[in-house]
Parts: sequence; C-alpha cells; structure tokens
Amino acid sequence: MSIARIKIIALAILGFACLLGNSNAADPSTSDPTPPISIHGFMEEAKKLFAEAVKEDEACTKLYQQMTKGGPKADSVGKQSMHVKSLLRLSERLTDLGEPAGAEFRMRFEMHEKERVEAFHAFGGTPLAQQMHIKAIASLQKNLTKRLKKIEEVFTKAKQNPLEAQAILDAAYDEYESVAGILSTPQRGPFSEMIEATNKMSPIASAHRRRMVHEAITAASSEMVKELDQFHSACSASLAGLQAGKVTWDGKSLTGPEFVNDMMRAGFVNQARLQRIIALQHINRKASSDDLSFESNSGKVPAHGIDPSWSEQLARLKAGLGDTAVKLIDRDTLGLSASDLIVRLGDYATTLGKYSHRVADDEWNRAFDAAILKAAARVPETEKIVRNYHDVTNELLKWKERFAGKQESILSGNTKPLGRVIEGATPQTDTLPGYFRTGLNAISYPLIYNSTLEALPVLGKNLGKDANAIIGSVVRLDSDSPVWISRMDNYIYARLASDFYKPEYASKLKTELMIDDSKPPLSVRAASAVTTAERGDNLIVGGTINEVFAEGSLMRMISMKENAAPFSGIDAPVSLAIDQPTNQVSLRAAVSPKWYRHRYFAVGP
Amino acid sequence: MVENVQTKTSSVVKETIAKVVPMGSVQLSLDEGIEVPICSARLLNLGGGRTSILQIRSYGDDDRDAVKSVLFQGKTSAASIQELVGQTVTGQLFAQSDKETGLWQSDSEGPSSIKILALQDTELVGEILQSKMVRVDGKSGYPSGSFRAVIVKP
Repeated sequence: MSIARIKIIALAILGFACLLGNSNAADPSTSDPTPPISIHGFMEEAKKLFAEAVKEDEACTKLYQQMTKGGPKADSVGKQSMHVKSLLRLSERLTDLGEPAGAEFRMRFEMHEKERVEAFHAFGGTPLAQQMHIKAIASLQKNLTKRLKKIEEVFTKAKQNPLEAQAILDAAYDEYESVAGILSTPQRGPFSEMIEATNKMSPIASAHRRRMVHEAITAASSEMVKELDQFHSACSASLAGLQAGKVTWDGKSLTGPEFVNDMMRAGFVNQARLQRIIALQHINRKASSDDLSFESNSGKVPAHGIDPSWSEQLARLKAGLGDTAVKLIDRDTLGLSASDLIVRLGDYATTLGKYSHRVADDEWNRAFDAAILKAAARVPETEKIVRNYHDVTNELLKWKERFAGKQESILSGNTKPLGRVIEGATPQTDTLPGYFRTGLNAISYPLIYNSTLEALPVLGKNLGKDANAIIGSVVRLDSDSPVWISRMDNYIYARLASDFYKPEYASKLKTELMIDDSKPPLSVRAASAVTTAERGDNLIVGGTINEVFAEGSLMRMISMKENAAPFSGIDAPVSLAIDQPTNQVSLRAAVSPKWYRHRYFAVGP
Repeated sequence: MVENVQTKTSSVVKETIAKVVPMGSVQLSLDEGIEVPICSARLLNLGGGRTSILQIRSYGDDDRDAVKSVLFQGKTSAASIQELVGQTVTGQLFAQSDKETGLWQSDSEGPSSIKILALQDTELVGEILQSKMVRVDGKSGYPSGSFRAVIVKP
C-alpha cells in the first residue's frame, strides 16, 4: 500500500467522528447474544471481512439446523466444511487487523467445527455418503490440473499483491472444499494441494496484513504527534500575543476567558483523539522484554507494553492546558481597577469551572484558585473579597461533601460495585462459559474464552432481573449530551438511562454559593460545583442492571467519539492488561439508576 | 505594709489571668451533646454585590478534621462586629458529633439562626436558637445551643 493511501486512512481516523458505538447495528447482549462483537474498522478491509464472517457464521448455523432437523442433503457436509473453514480464516484475518471480533469469531468457529465433526461422523456411514465419496474423488481428480495451474498463478501474483492473490486462492479453495469436505483426511491424500497452498499463503498474507496495520498505525501516530505540537505552539502563540485583554486564536480575536474556553474545548478533543491513538498502540505492543518485533516511535523501548512517549504526550497536554490558563490569569489581570479585576476573575472562574472537574484530585481547582488569589492580591481590597469568598464557600462545600459522602455510604449499604457484581456472575471454568477465568489459573480481567452465544446467556441468568450495583465515576459527555456513562472499572462500565438526573439541586447549590447572573463565582471550585450539579457530572450511582453488552476493549477505545474525553480521562493513558490485546473484552451494563450522589449532595430513591 | 504587698500580688495575678488567650467554646444539644472548647467568629466582607457572612466555627485551620465540630455561616448586613450585638443572624448550621452517622445540617426548608447577646472583650457571646436539623441517616433533631466565639480578623 502506498504511503499516500496510508495517510488517507490515518487522517480519516483522526477526523473520524465515529459513534460512541461501532460499525455494527447491535452489540450482543444478555437479551440477545446472537450478534457478534463489533469491529472498530481502523483498517478498511476489516469491514468487508466482518460482513463475510457474519454471513459464514449464519450459513454454518442454518446448515447445522437443517442437518439436525431433516438430515443432511447430498452436498450439505461439503458445504458445511467450506463455510466452517471460511469462518476460521476470516477470524484469523480480523485478528491480524487488530480486531477483537476476530477472537470472538474464532470461538464461533470452534462451536461450528464441533457441529461439523458431529455431522461428518453422523453422515459418514450412510449409503448416500458412500456415493458422495466416489463422486467427490472423481471430481477432484478431474479438476486437479486446473487447480494446480491456479495455484501457480496465485503464487506468481502473490509476489506483487499477496491479498489479491489470497482472494483468488480463497475462491478456488472454497470450490475445492465444498467437494472435498465430505472426505476424510486419508481419502483426501492425493488431493491435498489446496490445503498445502493455503498453509503456504496464510503466513505470507498474514505478515502483509500485519505490516500494513503497523504502517497505518505509525502514520496515524506521527500525524497525531504533529497535531499536538501544532496545538501547543498555537496555545503559546496566543498567550504571548495577549494585548489589551485580547488574544488571537484560530483566526479570531477573543477575550482571555473566551480563549481559555475555546482552548479547553480543543484541548479535550485532542485528548480524546490522543487516547484513540494510544489505544491503537496496543495492537502492536511489546509482549515482553525479549520481544524483538516491537518498533519504537520515540526510541524509548519499554520492557513490555507501549512506547512511554505516549504517557508523556498525555501529561504534556494536561500540563499545557493547565499552565496556559494559570499564566493567562496572571497576565490578563495586570493594571485593572478593583471592580474590573473582580469582573475579570469572575469570568475566569466561571469559564474554568466548566473544565476543572475533568482533572483528578482537585489538581486544577487548587491550581486555578491559587492563580485567582494571586491575581487578586494586586489590589488589597480585591484580595480580601476573593479570599473571604474562598473561605466561606470552601467551608460550605467541605461540609456538604462530608454529608453527601455519608449519605452515599448509607444508600450503598452492602451493594457491590458494578465490576464485582458482573465479575461474580460470569466465571469461566472448564465446564462453564464466562469472561473471568477462575480456579488455579485465575485471571482478573475479562477475556474472550467463549462466543457471546455461550457466555452471555449464562451471565444474564446469573444476574437475574434485580441485580443491584454501585457505579462510580459516572460522567456526562457534554453539557447537553444524552449520554451518561461510567469510566471503566476493570474493563466493565455502565451506560445510564438519560432521563434520571434532576438538576433541581443545582439552583439550591448556586444560591448557597451566592452565585447568580449578576454575581459570578470567585473560585473555580465553586464554579465547578455548580457546573457539575447543573449537568449531572461526576456522579456515583446506585441502580439495577437491565442488560449487559459485550464488546472488544480495543474496539471501545479505538472508536471513542471526539467528545468522549470524560470517558477516558486526561490523567492516565488508556491501557489493556494483557499481552493479547485483541482477546480482551469489555462488558457494558445498561443500568436504571435508583439513587445518585453528586460530590455535594445525594438524591435517594 | 503586709496588706499592701498582698493587694499588689493579687492585681498582678489578675492581670496575668486576663492575658491568657481565650479559645472560645460552643455547645449544641445534638445526639449525646456536642461541646467544643474552641470557637472563633469572622465577619467576612464579600464586596459590593454580596451580603457579608458571619462565620462561626469550632476548629482552626489545623484541626479541620476534629470529630466534634460545628460550623455556622449566615448573612448579615452588619458592617462591624459591634453592630452584630443584639442581632439575629440566619443561615446554615452544620454539626458533627461522631464519625459514623452523627453528621447534621440545617433542614433545607428552614434555616438555622443565632442570636448575638454581647461582645465581651474579644469574644462574641450568643445563642444558637432552636431549629430543625436533619441527620445524615434522615433523623430529625431540634437542637439549641450557645457559644463564646473569639473574634478573628479575616
């Protein structure tokens, strides 16, 4: 593939406003486990492979149903063999393209392979089978030369274009297998050329696909680094160009608070895109210290996992946004009168209060409020007012937080966190299909051990209708978004019904913090309290699990929407726990909230 | 002669006692009763657009996590501490009597009030008027109390 084509794909990913979902209509769930898990579609070919795999899976299922009901028709066994083997190769190719759907289709293949073996043996002894064997051998003999010639053409073509060559071989193989599938291995003996050809082609095409993926990820990665560099330069340039309370950003002349607002919005879009690129790195990650196949972008090679320069990029983005805001407050408050200074600080507090909750541990609340106090200190009268406002509101918020925290404990009772509830309901053992391996080789994160058809119904049955759980870190994607989701807890997360939150408590909080349209907050902490209360952001929720959906963890992280910054957070890079990232699963619970706790108040059932 | 020495000694002792720094105190009849031998008051000016706040609290900056603690914050138009005497100030009252469920706040429908009775030297003396408070587990209480709050210049 040419570099130009790779660039197009990479840019498409960067500008790709994908759904907070996937390219598939429905995800498999405890209510309907039949759909396969979805693809992220980073590589264009994945869409075609996925669509074909869906067809093959359905064909296998239909054929098996027919055969168990009415007994096999003459060509059923051969056809079944062809579809089953087709499903296997599609699953392997999807895995090569970094798609978790490949691992799940692999599980479906194993289910169908069992069915095939069963049908093969059931049919084998019948008189019809004997007739078919004779016919098959004759047909295979007749077309041997044609097949050998085709194989020769395919391998000539493979030198230039392995994927096209493989496609031609696939078609020839399918024709062969639908006839040969009825024969046992010894019977096939003289006619194994197609199998040998496939086994020879497979690693060639696989290496080619994996190299293409690697190149596409590398291209997307360097584009992202360039974009981040440009973003940081633009922030510095705007800050440096501050004059008479005006700043130029994105071709517009803005006030300081307006610029901070636009910068923060753009910054969080960049955070989401950066997290998507970080997720992509997991496709090529270093499995262990002696994994020589890993190629570092930055020259820094980890013992295992992904290039550490990505954590640095994320930290740099967070620091860049925070530092620019702090410096701007400092520079944009020089030489103002007492009354103008109060107005300016109120504007900054209001604006930054829309974003400060996205950084953990009050880091931004503290940094921005310190900057506000420092700026206020330029005018003694203003300093007193701002300091007193902080004093009063911080005391109030401290007590309210303490009260809400205790209410949360009481409301929680013995209810377990969502992750524990679901983990407990989907154990995987030698005899039980599930997502968490238990026993001697217990693994603490969810992997694809079975198809959704096997594992999800068991999970649904174990949960029952009234499974309650506590969901932490519930975020709303934006002020007017209908989406409330929780951050992942061990790859398990929740999506909440969008009509549960009542913003009535926000106006009470506003009054308590002495804020209204004519009196802005004088601390970011107070502004943030109101913002999050109005939106219903950063909540802890207790509710009932209605349904659980399965998806590939990689798919979820690569497919994040550009407004999904709150989902992945700016404090840490998205991570995958294991050495085979394409096997890792996320379980998404649809939850009906019963009660919830905002930082500063709780609302009971 | 001896009498004069005794009188002189007594007045020195009295002066010394008067210079011991007062810490204030507050009590509130909640749960087993809350009594804290520390209490301070601040009159906080919030600038042109906002009414000042009288803050009375039973902890300093170093012991914010004290188990037994009380906070009152209410609006007042008094321009000085002196003007507060005789006033009733209405606002929010919070109290903690223990680390489990002993956490209280003013009822959302009806705020709490304090009455300033006197200004004695450096202390504001007053009553916490009876009002409805709600505990974190939903239980209601109707406490009253009193305080001597050392005035701190903000």
